Amino acid sequence: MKNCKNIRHLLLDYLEGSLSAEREEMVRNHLYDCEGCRKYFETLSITAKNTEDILGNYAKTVEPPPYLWGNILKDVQKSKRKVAVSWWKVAVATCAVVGVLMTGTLAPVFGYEGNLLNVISGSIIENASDDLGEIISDDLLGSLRKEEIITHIVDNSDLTEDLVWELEEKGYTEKDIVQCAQIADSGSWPIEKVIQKRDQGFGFGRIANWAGVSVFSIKNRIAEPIHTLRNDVEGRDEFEVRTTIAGFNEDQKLISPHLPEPIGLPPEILDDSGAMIHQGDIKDSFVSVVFRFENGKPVAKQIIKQKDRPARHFNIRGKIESVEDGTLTLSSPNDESISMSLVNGKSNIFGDIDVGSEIEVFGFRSIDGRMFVDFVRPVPENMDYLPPKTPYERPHHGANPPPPPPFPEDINPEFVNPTQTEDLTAQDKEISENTATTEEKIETIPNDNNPLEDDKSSEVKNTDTQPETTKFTGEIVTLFSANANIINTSSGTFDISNTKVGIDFKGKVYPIGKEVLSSTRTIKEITINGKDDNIDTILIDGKYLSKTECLVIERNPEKTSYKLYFGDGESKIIKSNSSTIFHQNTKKIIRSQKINLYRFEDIPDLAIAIEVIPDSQSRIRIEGLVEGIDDQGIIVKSTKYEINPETTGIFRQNEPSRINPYEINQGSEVELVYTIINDEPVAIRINLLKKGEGDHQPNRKFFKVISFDYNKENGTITLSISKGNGAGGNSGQSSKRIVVTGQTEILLKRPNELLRSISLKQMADLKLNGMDVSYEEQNGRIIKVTIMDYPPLSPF
Amino acid sequence: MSEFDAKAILPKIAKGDELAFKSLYDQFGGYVFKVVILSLRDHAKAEELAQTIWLKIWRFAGKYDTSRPFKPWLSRIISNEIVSYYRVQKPKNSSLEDLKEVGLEPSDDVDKLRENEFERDLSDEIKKALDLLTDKQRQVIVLKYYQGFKIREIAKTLKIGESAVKARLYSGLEVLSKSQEGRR
Repeated sequence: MKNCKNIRHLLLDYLEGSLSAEREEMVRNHLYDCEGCRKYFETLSITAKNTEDILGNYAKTVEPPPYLWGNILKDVQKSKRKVAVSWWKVAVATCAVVGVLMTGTLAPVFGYEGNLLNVISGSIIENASDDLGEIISDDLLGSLRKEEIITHIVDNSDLTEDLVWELEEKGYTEKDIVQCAQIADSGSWPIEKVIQKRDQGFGFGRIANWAGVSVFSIKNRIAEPIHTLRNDVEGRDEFEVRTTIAGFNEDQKLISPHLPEPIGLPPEILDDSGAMIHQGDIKDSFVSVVFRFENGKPVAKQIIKQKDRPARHFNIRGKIESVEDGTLTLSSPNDESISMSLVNGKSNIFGDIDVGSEIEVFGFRSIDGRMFVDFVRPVPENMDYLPPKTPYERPHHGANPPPPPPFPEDINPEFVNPTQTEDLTAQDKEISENTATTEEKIETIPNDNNPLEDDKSSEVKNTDTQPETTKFTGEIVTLFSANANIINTSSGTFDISNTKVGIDFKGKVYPIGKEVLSSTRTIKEITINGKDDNIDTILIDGKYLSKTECLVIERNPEKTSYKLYFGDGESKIIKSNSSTIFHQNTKKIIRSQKINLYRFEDIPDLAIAIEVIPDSQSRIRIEGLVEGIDDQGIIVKSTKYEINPETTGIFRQNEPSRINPYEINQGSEVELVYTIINDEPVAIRINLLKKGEGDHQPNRKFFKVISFDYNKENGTITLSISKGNGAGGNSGQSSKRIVVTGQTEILLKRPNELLRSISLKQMADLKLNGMDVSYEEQNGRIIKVTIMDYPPLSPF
Repeated sequence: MSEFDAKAILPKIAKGDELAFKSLYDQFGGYVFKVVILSLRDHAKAEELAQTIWLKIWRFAGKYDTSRPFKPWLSRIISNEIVSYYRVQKPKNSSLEDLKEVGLEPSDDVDKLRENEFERDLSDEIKKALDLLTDKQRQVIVLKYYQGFKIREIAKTLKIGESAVKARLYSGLEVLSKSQEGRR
């Protein structure tokens, strides 16, 4: 009965007596009439009463422990003290640093505050993934209590405690709240507006951009982790800004889009090897400018050239013809009309400009050649701009950029069809099996069953029947065109685990990696910078992929290496021919890491995703020459691979080796399969490739035991040992006697065990005949004997 | 403790008066701890969370509107912290489905325990009952049947709709009623 349902819904209110008289009457009448509801009500009220009793009785039995108050008091007092060194104060101090930097008159005109602030604040915690969200590092969050963070935000921003509460109740994490506050502080929006946008599901990167915090422009332009040289924020006297040098003004001062005013040439201009170079060589280059504060003002101290600026960046001057529909049209000095898209349609225009204004545009080209505006500023009057080395090229698509492809017509529905998930999983498996160890060649993604690569005919068919985007809700969130335009976005957060996300690259949708998206997240944007095969960055939501995945990113001109950005900001070079991973800075080979590398079928030189498999399980193979052997293991020097001295060393045998170590001698060629345990290489298996000529035990003398005699009364063991080297096996001709006493240190080495000390009795229990021993003698007494208990030679 | 006291004490705490804070703790320390332990069912974690809650009370004392009753304000802080605790703990949550497999029928052991030691029995019983609930159900059950709030007040405290509160109460009571069958 429908009525019963309505009545039952009111029973709890009825129980607590909060119904109107009229309704109460209605419920009572119904209960009188309806046995089912009466029974239900009885159960409900009894359960409620019981629950009340149970909870109440239980509560009577518990009391807070007496020490709790002490802990609380400690907390309270600690929190009082911590104020002085809170991160927020640090951030404020940093802002003050920026303030100093921006006291130049140009700063307000060009409105670089947000931009630079991010350079600097991004610097401070040395965070590479440079979403604003990452600016507050987990370390910082972890080291402070949430309350402290919130309190200090409250102290220093628009964020009120009520707002914090409100946000917490909405489910904002502390990090989210901090981000909102930061964006509001750094940009031009009030915090309420930031929150409003966030509530609508927009990403922080995007909001920051709208709010005038030019996070994207920094990334697009530099696409490198920005970090300081000096990490000590308080009291530091140096900091570093990475930027592009656009040219020189008439005072021979450097002009750069990321610096608020021209800077004087520093005494040192170096290339990345530290050699002095001519100032002209840094034009159009990425540089790192190191500043030092002198009398409270930043003075450039050193410029280190990083690399030439890629051609995809442009920097042109012209008069504004129009700004509409997110497109800026400029008439260039040679009267050509050039159209460029404004990123996000509206942001990044600094200063007071209007149609007819002469402006300077800093921008970048997307893969398909479309031009995007990074930012625009009025042409400074005193600036003699030197054009970049690469002359301006007309964009491929002429004055009007093509509209982004419509959704979903251009996407094969199979890509997202829920019924196809099994196929995708199977494909995943296939990919995952296709792993590459460090010495294997790069594997390509098997493409046979790739639903993404189907021809377009099925798509056309499907557009008629399923044009609604609703079909994809929850299955796919966003697909992106190569030029960073979103083809389709369903707003909101979706669980997109097990969802493939692809990049529409030259009209084909490619999956990115394998289960790149392994958790719930909302993707708003993938940005690809670069042109054609010169892709240099791919960003998802303004971030490089995190954790185990990363994206490739940059290729050197010789096409021999790629620069990778990992989520943690560490960049590594991968050699395309060997997949050996080097650490970029230390040049150490990171052999303990096994990787899966994915790449586009059609673009063999471009890797697209790297999956680094945690090193605990990985096994590494190297070949090398045996340098020596001792009772701890064998020492191998690799000839085939470049190995650092610290990793060339003694490999302790852990698992049973395939061969008896006695077969290995100095000069043997071996293959070591080893893993890293506690930073120490532990051999899993040693394969003998070729026997060497040298001694078996170059550093030690071993003798084979011919016979032994245990004298219980004296507590001695008398060993008859061969005179020759025990390894040769040709022992027994002439022998020598040694006497082991209670004073002798007796060591035993067995396979899979470390050398250990044993007692005389234990020694006597060993079947010593045939074993190898070494000994040390002092004043005619045997002070130490080492017994090698190895199994007989096996024919492996 | 009367509302009047709270009104006098909270502004003092806001000014950093540790003695006033102590007097508030003396009166509400037990209450806070009991609510927390009922919600968390773990003594050590309850201590930790209670500590956090008290630090929050310390920080936010100045935000307390003295024209309003104190207990709902306090409950809001407690509830907020419990909610964020649940959020952090989420992966560990056992779902109702998991527990169904364990079996709901009161075992003989419970009866034995009841004879021997009333206290222990009770705590087992409570644990058993509360374990069956989801975090959301448990929170409203505690608010309603331990803290004694009305549905409307719970809705306000948790910033959710009254019908959501009711839905959680009904489903929670349903679970509890099954587990209490042996008791009746």
